[in-house]
Amino acid sequence: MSNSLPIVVVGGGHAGVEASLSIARMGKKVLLVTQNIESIARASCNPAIGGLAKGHLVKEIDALGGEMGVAADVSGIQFKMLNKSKGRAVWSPRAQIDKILYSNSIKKSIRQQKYISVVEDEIVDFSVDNYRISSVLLKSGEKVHCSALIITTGTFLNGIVHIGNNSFPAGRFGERPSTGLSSTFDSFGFKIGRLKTGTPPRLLMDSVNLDLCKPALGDDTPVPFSFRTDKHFNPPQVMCHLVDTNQNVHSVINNSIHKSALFSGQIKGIGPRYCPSIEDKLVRFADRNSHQLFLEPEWLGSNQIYVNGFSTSLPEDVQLEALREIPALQSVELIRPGYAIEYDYFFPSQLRATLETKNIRGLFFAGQINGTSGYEEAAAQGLIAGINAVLLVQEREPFVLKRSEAYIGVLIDDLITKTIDEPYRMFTSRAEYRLSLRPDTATRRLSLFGHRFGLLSDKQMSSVGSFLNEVEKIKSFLSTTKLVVDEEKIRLDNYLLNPNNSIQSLLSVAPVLNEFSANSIFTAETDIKYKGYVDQERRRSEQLQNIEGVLIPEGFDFSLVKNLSNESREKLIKVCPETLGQASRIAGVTPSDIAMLSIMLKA
Amino acid sequence: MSSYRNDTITALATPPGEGAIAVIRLSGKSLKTLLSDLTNGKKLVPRYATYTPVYSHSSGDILDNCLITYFMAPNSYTGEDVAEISCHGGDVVSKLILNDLYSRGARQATPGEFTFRAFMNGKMDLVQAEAVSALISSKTELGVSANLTNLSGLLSDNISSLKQQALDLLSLVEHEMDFSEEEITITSKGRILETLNIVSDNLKSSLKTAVLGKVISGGVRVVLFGLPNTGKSNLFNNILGHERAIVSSVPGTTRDTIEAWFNLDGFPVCLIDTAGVWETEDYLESLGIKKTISEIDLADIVLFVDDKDPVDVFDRLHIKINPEKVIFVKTKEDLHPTKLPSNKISYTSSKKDIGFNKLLTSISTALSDSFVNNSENNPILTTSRQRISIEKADDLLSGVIDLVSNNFSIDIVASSLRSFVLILEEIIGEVSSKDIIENIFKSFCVGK
Repeated sequence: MSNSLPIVVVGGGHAGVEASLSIARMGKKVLLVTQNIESIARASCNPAIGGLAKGHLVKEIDALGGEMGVAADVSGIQFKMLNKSKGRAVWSPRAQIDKILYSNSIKKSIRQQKYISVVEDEIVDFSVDNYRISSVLLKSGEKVHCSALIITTGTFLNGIVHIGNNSFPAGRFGERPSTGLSSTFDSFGFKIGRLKTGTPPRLLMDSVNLDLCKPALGDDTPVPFSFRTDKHFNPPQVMCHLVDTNQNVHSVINNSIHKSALFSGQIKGIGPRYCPSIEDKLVRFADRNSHQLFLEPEWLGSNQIYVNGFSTSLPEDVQLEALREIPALQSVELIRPGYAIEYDYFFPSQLRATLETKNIRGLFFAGQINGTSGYEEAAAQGLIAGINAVLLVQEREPFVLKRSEAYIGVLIDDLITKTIDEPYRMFTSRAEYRLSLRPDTATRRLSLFGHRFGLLSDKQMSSVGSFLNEVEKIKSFLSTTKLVVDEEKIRLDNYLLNPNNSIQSLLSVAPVLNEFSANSIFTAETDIKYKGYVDQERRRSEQLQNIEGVLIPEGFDFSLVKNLSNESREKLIKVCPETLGQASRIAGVTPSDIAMLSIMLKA
Repeated sequence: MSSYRNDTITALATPPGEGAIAVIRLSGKSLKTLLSDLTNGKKLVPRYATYTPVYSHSSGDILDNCLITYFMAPNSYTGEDVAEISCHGGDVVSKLILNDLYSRGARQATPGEFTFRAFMNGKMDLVQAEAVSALISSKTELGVSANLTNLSGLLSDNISSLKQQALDLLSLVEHEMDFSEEEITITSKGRILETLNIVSDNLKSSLKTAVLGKVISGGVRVVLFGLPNTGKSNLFNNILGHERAIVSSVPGTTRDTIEAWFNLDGFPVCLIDTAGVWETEDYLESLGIKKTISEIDLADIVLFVDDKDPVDVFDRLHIKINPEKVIFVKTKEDLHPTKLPSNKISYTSSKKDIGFNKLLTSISTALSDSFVNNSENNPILTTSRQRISIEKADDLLSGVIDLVSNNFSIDIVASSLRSFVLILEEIIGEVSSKDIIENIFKSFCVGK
């Protein structure tokens, strides 16, 4: 395989752009194939980046040298830290973004990369030589030889849009689906399923009575996602708005619920439980009289409003009628109705932890096509697939993050070991090492990797280094200094163990602390407060760790293990886990099965 | 016990030595051919005992007339094909048959291998497997019944239900962490504490039964103690003479103490005579006195013996013993009949054989008072692994309750709660670290 052939990336969404940029930054040529250059890095659903657990992913992507955090900081118009009442391990940064600025910022980065060529086309087929990807065929008829292929087609594969009982093929509203590849996947025996997701209607700003809305404000001191963003961070912090649904809205929807594509049986794909459509919410939480809707501008000065919380596949007239029952939206006009989209997804259990397929060398899948939902989940996969495609071509060790190292590790491990039968969304509860995977420690955990792969410059790495040095300095000062605080002489780190105490209250007795940056103070203080619990978390996980690294040889015949239950044998054969740790997380595989396997593997 | 194979294993399932019959057990993936060859084609119906001659592999001669019970996989102890061959007792016949089975390709089972296979085939969980181990070494009926309770899964059920409550709470807390404050209402601290306290109460009552478990599997230690020549040795023999069910009588770990096991109303009792210690010239400096003192520390009951006034002598010795552990015994009633003021004294005479039933009753009562308080019929924690794990679980849970009470953030609370759930899962074997499994099966004897 010639090292000089490009890596082909199919799709220019959040996964595709992270993959392309990381490959180029690692010094490899990329051919980015997209239907429409204009729609590169388009935020097709909500105008926001981050949020619960997703904010953690953005911080990690950023720490590894990815693009998402930087672009969100450039294009963010309102920053807010969510979950502040629940402990710093689950604080989650979120930003409203200007979709146009966001997409432009990333397009600019792509244009600046001499190793990336972009072509407006589609992939209709690919060829495999000795189980290794060798070339792709474009719709234009051109055949391109490549060293690796990364598929990031999002919801475009055999996409069908549903609005009420009206449905038509589309990749996104107003864009064509891609249909050619599905049969190629079929011919290689890949398993494909159907999923569904949806998006709410867009409203005309002028038709909303803002006086009747509640204000939704950002933080007084906004915090950027990226450690690379300038210290004098000063986003516009615009005001958003909030309205509540009421009984009248609910009865309009309930009376027409049979017309929703979701409930009429028209949609076969399974939708995300965690991001339900409004009709889903009314059915599932029938006892609630009201749901909150956030009115979010799609870009600065935009006349187009995204109704967060009102995703739907009801007919357009019903959407309008229901919304108009809300006082502030009494005379609202739709720019575009909400819709549901059904699409093909690739069963991710067919992937390795590098996101390369188990069957074909050099073929990678990343993003929503793997059954995930959300920009951040997609971007994280794109980054990992991009890095690993280069490592594969260069015949270097693959890059796999452990569950104990990053949410990204949790995300990918879940994808390849769990049965994904609804769109997968990141949650903090999926991370058993949650306390050590805090957003503020992303650079400490990951930047060395990013730097090693050439995704972060020496200069960027040295800024990470000085941050980490400061944190250590503060911690060592606190653990070696005894002072009288609150009329008691106490070592300062011990003083901080009380949940009611903070470094802030030490500034007067220990003014030397004023010299440090707020970020360093925050991380040092949290390290001290969390240390005991992080240690406990580590110990707990180490007990399970001794199976984690036990490799299951490629081609291991699970059917020979006679004493497994049929269910777990089938699952193991289907998934073909690479390690005993992965095997243990497959649903239906019991600890007894694992004990047996571990003993078998040792024999 | 490093690997699981399903080749055919065999072992003597009854204790070696003289006996009316001996039972040889076989287990393997398939025993059909082996059994058919062994019996010259006799038809064996699963779960029925068949009387049949057993033939030698090499000569074809009859080795013995046996009763063979065949269990077909998966309906057997190990989940594989199992056969139990009852042959005539004594070492010779069983050895002949075993050697014959080896020549037919069976191999000698390693300790615990039958039960290990049962575990590996999902026939029992870890607690049940441990119970089998404990059952075999149970010294008394009470022990047998505690272990049978565990074998039937009661302990697992109990811990499972506690785990479920904790897990439900954890799921709730986790769920609330994954939604922003605007989206859902958060469970109050009071509600969380309420649930935790209920779980804690249940756990504490499980822990109480652990003490009884220790007694049942480890036995209680009753130490005879007193000045020289006060009749301790005679008392030792008399007590054992009265209790027929002597389990063993072996010399103690040091030259200076003698131990013997006997069964007292279901309690396995280890009676320890410290005779000899006090006969040394300079006893305070002897090594023996140290041994005696440490025996007294370990003792559950101390019989303080004197032939004149045990209470008075005991007081004068100034030895630190929890008075509740002490039963005073006045010996040689035939020589010095007395009536002492304390009513805590048992009066005995070896020569006239009086007072021993009474003494045994008061020992038994004391044991019941301190150990048996198990009216709810809670499953008993018989192994130290279970006991230590539950103690650890109890510690962890108290920690969680402290965190909640002191307003620690919910991410920290959830992490500690997760540790608690994990340790409960460990107890019932839902999470298995390999070390635990190997330890459990290491303690088995061959043939189980």
